Amino acid sequence: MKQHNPVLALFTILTFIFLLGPLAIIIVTSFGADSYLSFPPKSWSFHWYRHIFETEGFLSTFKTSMIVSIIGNLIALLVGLPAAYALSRYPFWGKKFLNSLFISPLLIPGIVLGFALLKYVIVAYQFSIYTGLLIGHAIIMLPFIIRVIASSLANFDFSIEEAAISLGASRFATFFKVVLPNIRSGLIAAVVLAFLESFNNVDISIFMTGPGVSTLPIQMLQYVQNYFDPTIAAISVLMMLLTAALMYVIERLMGLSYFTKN
Amino acid sequence: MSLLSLNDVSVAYGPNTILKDLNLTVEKGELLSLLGPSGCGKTTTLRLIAGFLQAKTGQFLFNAKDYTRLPINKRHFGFVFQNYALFPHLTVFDNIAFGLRLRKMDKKTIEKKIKAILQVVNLTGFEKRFPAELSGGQRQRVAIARALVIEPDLLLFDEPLSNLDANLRVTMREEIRRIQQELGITAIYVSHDQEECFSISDKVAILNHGMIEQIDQPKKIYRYPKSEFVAQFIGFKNFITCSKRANDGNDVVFSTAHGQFRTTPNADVQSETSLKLAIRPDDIELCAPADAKTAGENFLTGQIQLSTFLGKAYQYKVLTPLGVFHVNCGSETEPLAVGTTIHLFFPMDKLVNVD
Amino acid sequence: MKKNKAFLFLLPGLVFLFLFMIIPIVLIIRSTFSDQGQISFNGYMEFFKNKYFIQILINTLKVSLLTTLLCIVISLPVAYYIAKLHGRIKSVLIGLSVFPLLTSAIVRSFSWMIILGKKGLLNELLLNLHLIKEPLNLLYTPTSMIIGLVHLFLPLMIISLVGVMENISDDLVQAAESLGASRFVAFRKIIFPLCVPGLIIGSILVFVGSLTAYTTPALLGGKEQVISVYLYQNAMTLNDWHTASSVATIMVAVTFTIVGLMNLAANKLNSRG
Repeated sequence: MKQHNPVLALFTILTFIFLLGPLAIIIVTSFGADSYLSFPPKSWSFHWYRHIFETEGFLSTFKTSMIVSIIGNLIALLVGLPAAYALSRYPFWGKKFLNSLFISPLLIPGIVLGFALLKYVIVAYQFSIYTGLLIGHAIIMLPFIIRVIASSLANFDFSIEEAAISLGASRFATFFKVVLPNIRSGLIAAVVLAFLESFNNVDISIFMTGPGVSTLPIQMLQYVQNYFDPTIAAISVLMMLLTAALMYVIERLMGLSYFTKN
Repeated sequence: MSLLSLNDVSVAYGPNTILKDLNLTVEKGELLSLLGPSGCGKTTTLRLIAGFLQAKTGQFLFNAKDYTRLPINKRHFGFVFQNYALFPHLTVFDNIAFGLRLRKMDKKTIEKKIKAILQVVNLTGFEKRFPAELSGGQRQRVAIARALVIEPDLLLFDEPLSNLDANLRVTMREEIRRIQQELGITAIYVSHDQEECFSISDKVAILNHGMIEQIDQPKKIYRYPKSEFVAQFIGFKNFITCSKRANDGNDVVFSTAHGQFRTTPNADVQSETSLKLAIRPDDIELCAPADAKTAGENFLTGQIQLSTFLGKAYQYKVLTPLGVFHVNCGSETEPLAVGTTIHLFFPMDKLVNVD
Repeated sequence: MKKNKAFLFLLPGLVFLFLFMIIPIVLIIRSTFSDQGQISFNGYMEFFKNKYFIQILINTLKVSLLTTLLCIVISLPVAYYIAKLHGRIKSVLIGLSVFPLLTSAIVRSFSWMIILGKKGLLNELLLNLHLIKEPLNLLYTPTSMIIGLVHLFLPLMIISLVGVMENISDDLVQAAESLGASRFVAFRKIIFPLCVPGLIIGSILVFVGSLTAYTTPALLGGKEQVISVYLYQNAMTLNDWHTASSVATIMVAVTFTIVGLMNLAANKLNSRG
């Protein structure tokens, strides 16, 4: 229908310029040759992309970030998948409370959780910094794993499961052969979203740095606070590429309308 | 001069034409129904009149004023939606008061008017309820009250009963007719249910592919459908294509390879060249081969192929030299067996010539 | 039987959260109420006498409130516009809102450093246009922090509101219009009230997010302190874990109070419809 309101359209365009313009500026800046941040750059080069690999710390923290996000993801999946299944499958007393409990890591201030982990898990329980990182990241990934999987289980018709059992499949086999394949896209989307949340995390990781252990965002944060050259712009571009690629995966799997349905 | 007239109106969504050169007039105080299969353009016509969409070409006159480009909120028409479209965050009272408040009426007048209209729709005492706390029929009546209370120049109904169960539908349509006549409001009513339309309307317009096939009083359409499409739509299941027609006094005689059919013409509806005849399954009679009333005309012999029990009747599918006919026979007699040869008589006053 | 099974599936997650989230946080909270083994509120008494801390708390709440209000005001028209669109252009706009949401807060705050810095884009532009003679101090101010936070949380609000507005049937607006309402009145009297529950949820996310955000204030805030930066400095720079624990407790208390109140409001509104 012709409900086109030009004022509204203009306002929307301006808002998106506000949202995306700064990201576009980063991209342009990353190709500048100047040794300080300026826009637009006076001359162009790939120098700062090379500089990422020549600077100590970026590559190694990237590796740490990857490992922490992937292994933390597996831990969250291991405890989160059965929980999501139970929360969607069975009716029981106190379900609403448990639902909120599993979502609560989203509400507890990250900086508080990070500090609590440092104070107790690392200093009091004597876990290594690396283990602390894994645990912290698994905790913040848990709400994403549970929410996305539960929302895809909500569309799953559990009578299919009963049909499989009536045909002679064991409960265990039913879960892996009938339930999992049907929520596959939700599962992958959950893993991808959780990964991004963990990979970009600052609040937890900032408390868990030690000799040889640090994540990429923390390294970036420290670099930004000390140097003012386009290296971070170059890394930002690479991170945006990663985000865009993973977002494409989610779009394929669940459609981006998933985000507006919560 | 009619109260409302659409002159050569066309509506298109992208490449799809929904209405083409539609002409329609409605008189003051009349209830006109728009009837047709889904996609025929009846709802589009209604939304066009309401102002929810704009005509590509043509003109819409109301009370001799040009309404074609008038914004919705300036039209002062009432609209009753298929899904009621009650405001879920407002009480029954506030829903009905919505239009009155926009017209800057004082509190007392609003209360008085709402009290009166709730009486008309039999909902006195429901003022404080929210829509979620009402049944389907009650919601529908609130929707009607909300549209009526502003005393609209025209009341538009978009399949208002289609979400109600069968019994309630009958009660509600009687209510709608009663209210419309009581208040003397001009109304346009869209439905795909022919019984509903025939029972409440002063006039019915039958639409097909964005054009009006026939517009007339319900009983006239029922008796004399203009075209094969209309006939089919309102329950004529049997058609005979003839090869020749000739006038015989007041009657017209149609010839086929297997006998002649006599009928009375209806010149103000049908053209005088059409060779098609139609009859309802209920109107075909069974007879003996040498029955005097046939006089060798309006008569066919065939074999029963299929017998279906419909409750009040048996329906036989009968194969004749002129094709398959559907015939309904009262269910009080024993059904005839498949394969039985029977003789069909087509009463001349039931056989209709259509375009 | 069924109960046991559900419990069995939930157990690993519950144990994990209890051990590593709930117990540590409860221990932190408990530690702030004890003074050499005795229950004491002295820590907090002193805390709330400390003008510096009170200032930080008020600053944080002010910044969060302003960020939330700005997000609401900008999001309402934008979400309304997106919700009314159809097809490809709508998915593209939703995608363009989701992308910043999934992009690192460091990257997004960093972009504002480029724009607002002394030699940044905005200063260069204003200098070249001869609107100013000296570069302005834009970065490391409350303003730059709020800009950064709005940039961070706006997509969240837009997306929550689009979700709510999509569920409001076009018929309701048309009904209002047929009763004589203009577009604007229909928005004010129908769409807006129906959005309020979604608006509350969006506001919780944005408000709590701004209240507890670390990265953006740390990068854009400069000397302007907020509570999360204060916690971090006490914990890591000053090594004053007692103060850090008290700040953490206050943050949890404020967050949960606000979430609780807003949820209450949302429930009250929901039960009506």
